Amino acid sequence: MKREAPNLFAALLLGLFGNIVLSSQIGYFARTGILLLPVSVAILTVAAWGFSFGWRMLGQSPIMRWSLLALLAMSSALEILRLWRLFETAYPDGMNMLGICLMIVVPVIYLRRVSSIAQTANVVLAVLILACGLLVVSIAPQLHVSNLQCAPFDRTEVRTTLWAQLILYPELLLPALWPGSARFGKHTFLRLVGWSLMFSAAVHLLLELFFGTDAIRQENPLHTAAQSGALSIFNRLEWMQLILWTMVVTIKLAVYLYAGVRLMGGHACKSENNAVGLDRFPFYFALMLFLCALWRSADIGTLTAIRNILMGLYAGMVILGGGIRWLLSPDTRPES
Amino acid sequence: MKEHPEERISANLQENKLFLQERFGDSLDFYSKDLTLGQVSCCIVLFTGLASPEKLTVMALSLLEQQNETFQNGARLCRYLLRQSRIPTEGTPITTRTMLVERLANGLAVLLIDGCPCAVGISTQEMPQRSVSNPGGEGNMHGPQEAFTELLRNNVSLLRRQFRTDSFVAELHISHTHAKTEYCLCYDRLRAPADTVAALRRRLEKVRLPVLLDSAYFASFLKQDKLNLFPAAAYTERPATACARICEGKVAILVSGSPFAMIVPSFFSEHFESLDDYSSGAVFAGIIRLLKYIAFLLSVFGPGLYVMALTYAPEMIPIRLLGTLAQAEAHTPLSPMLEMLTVTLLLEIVREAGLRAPKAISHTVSLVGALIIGETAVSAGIVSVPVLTMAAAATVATLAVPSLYEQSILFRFAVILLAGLFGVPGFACGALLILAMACGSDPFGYDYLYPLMPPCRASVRDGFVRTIWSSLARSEEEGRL
Repeated sequence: MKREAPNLFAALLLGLFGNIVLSSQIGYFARTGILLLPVSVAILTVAAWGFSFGWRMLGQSPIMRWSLLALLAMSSALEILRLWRLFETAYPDGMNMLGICLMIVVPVIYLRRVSSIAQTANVVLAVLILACGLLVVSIAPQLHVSNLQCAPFDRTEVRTTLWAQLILYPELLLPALWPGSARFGKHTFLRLVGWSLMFSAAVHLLLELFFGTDAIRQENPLHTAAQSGALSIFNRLEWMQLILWTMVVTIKLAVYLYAGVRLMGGHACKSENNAVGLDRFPFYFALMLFLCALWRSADIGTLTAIRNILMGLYAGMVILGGGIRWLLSPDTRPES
Repeated sequence: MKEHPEERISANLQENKLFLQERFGDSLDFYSKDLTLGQVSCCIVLFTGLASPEKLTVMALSLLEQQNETFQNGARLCRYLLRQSRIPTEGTPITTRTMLVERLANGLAVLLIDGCPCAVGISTQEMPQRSVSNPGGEGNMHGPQEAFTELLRNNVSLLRRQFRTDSFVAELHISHTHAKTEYCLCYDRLRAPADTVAALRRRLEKVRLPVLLDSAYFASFLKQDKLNLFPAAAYTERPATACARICEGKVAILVSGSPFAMIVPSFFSEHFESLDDYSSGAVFAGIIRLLKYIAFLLSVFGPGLYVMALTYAPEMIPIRLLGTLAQAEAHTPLSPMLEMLTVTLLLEIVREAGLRAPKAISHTVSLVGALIIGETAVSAGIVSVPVLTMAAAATVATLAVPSLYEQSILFRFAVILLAGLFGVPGFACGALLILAMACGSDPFGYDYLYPLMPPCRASVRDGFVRTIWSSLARSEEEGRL
C-alpha cells in the first residue's frame, strides 16, 4: 500500500493507552468513569482543539516552543523512571537505571522516521489489544460481578474521577505540531480522546471486577492482576505485560522526540519522513540519562502531578493567548 | 554527449584493424579475416565462443556472394547491408570504438568496411550456456519447474513467453562497472506504477560498482535506511514467480550472468509465500503460511525467550517444566546465555561447513557436527539437552523461511544477547528493534508490512492466510500496487 502521508494517530493513541495502563489506572470506580465519560470527552476535545488553534497563532514564539520542549523532555524522563520503578518491583536488583535507559532509548534509533513510528505503533497497538484480551482471558475466573460498587455516589468520588479523566496528556496536544495540523478537524481530537477515555473506563471496570473496593488502593493493580493470570504454557503473564509496556514507552519517546525535533525547527515537509538525524542521538541519550539520574530518588507521583499541572497551565496559556491574538488582530486569523 | 574524435571509427580500414589488433591481438579468442565484397575491402572481426563463424558464413557471407550488386564504395555497401539486404544485421551502424567493443563482447560479428566511418554488426551470437533446468533453491511441488539461467536474453525470453500482451517491457541498461555488465528491468507497463519504475531506474543509474555479478549487488543501494537489516528486495530463480510479481505491478531486475531475478518493491509477507500456496487448497495453504510465521518467530525469539525465562523470569515457566529445566541446567558449567550462544554458533559453523565443503565430504561434516559433537557435548555436560533442543528447533525453523535466513540468524543472536544480559527489558528491546526495522523499511514509499499491518481485509485475503481463488480473483484489482 502506497503511503502519501504517514498517520501518527495510532502512535498517539498508543501513548494515551500507555498513560492509562502505566499510571492512571487507579483513583476511581468504573461506574463514575462511565457516567462522566461524555462530559470529559467533550471538555478534553475542546481543549485539544483549542490548543491546536492557539498554537497556530502562537506557535512561532521561541518561548512557547522551548517551554513545550522542556515539558516533553520531562515527560520522557518520567516515562523511563516509571517503567524502571515497575521493573524494580517485578524483578528487584534485576536492572539498573542505565540498563533501562539503554533498552528504551536504543530502539528509538530505528524509530526516527515518521513512517516507522506510525507503522510500529500500528503493530504494537494490535499486539497490545491482543495481549489485553489474553490477559483478560487468563484472569477470567477471578472476575466477579459482585465486586462492582453499588453504594450511592458522593461528591469526592465524582471530583476525583473528573480530575483523573481530565488530565491533558502531551499526546492530546501534539497533533497541533504535526505538518498540516490546520486540516485536522475536531473529529481527530474527538476520536483520540474518546478512545482513550473508553479504554480507561474499560480498564477500571476490569480492575473493579477483579479487586472490588480494593481497586483504588492498589499501587500497580494491572501488574498485580497479571501476576494472577495463568495459561497452560505460561505460569504467569506479567512478563508479557512488561514487554508490552516497554514497547509502548519506547514509541511514546519516539513520538516526543519527533515533536521535539519539530519544535526545534528541524525537518519541514520536504524530507518530513526523515524526522531525526542520527547525529542527535548521543545528545538525546545523554539528556535522558541526566534527567533520570536527577529524578532518580524523586517521587514519580508528585513529579507526574507537577507535569500534569504544568501541561494544563501551558495549554491554557496557549488557548487564551491564541484566542486573544485572534480577537485583537484579525489579519492573523488562520485561513481555515 | 559529444564524442571524442579519436573515439569515432575511422574510414580507414587499416586504422580500425590496428586499433583492434592493439586491444585484442593477443587474445586467443579474437578472430579477424580480411575479405573483399565487390570492390570494397572489408574485415570481419568476432570473438570465437561468443559468435559463430559458421553462422556468419551461412547467414551473411554466402548471401552476399549470391548478390549481383557490385559495391563500388564502402558507404554504399554499408547502406545496402543496413537497409536492403536480408542479412540479419543490427538496425543502427556502429560509429564509435566503444560501441564496436561492446558489440564484439555481446557476441556479434562486426564487418569493418574500408572507406566508411562506421561498421555493421551481424547477429551471429552463439555462446556456451547452461540449459534451462530445475530451480535448486526454491522447492515447489506444483507449477512450472524451470529456472533462470546465466544468459540475460534467455531469461528475458523466459519471462516474455508468459506475457502474451504488449504491456510487458524489458528495458536493457548498461551498468557503470568496469566490465559494463548489462541489466534489464522487466515490468508490466500497465500495472507497475510509473513513478516507482522511474525512481528505480534513477537509483540504479546512480550505482557505481567495480563489478556486477548478481542483482543482489544493487540491493543495498535501494535501501533507504542503511542500518536496516531487512532485505530491500526479494529474489527468485523461478520465471513463474517473477512473472507473478510482475503481474502484481512489481519490477524484476535481471543481471547478465546471474540466474536470479531481483524483485522490487518487496514486502515482508512475500517471504512467507510460495507458488504452492496458490496450487494447493486455501485451508491447507493458510495453515502452512501461519506455520511459517510461527517458525520465523520461533527461530528469532525462541532461544532468547528460553534464556530470559531461565535466567530472569522463571516464574513464567510451569512448575513441572521448570523442575526439568533446572535439573538439566544444574549439571552444566555455563550460564544459559553462554550455552545457547555456544550451541547456536556451533550449529551455524556446521551449516556453513556443510554448505562450503566439497559435496563428497559435506555429509560427513554434517554427521560429525550434528551427531558426534552434539552428543559428546551433552554427555560431557558442557551443554544441556533443553538448550540443544531449543537451538536445534530454532535452526530448523529458520529453514522454513529460507529467504529470511540471514536476518533470522542475526536477530537470534541479538535477542539471545539482549535477553541474557538485560532480562525482560532486553527481550522487549530486541523485539522492538526487529519490529521497528521491519516497519522502518518503506521500499519506494510502500509499507513493508503491507498487507499484514495495519490489519485490513487484505491481511486475510492474501497475507497471514490466503482466501479461495474466486475471492482472490475478485479482489485482484485492489491487490495491485
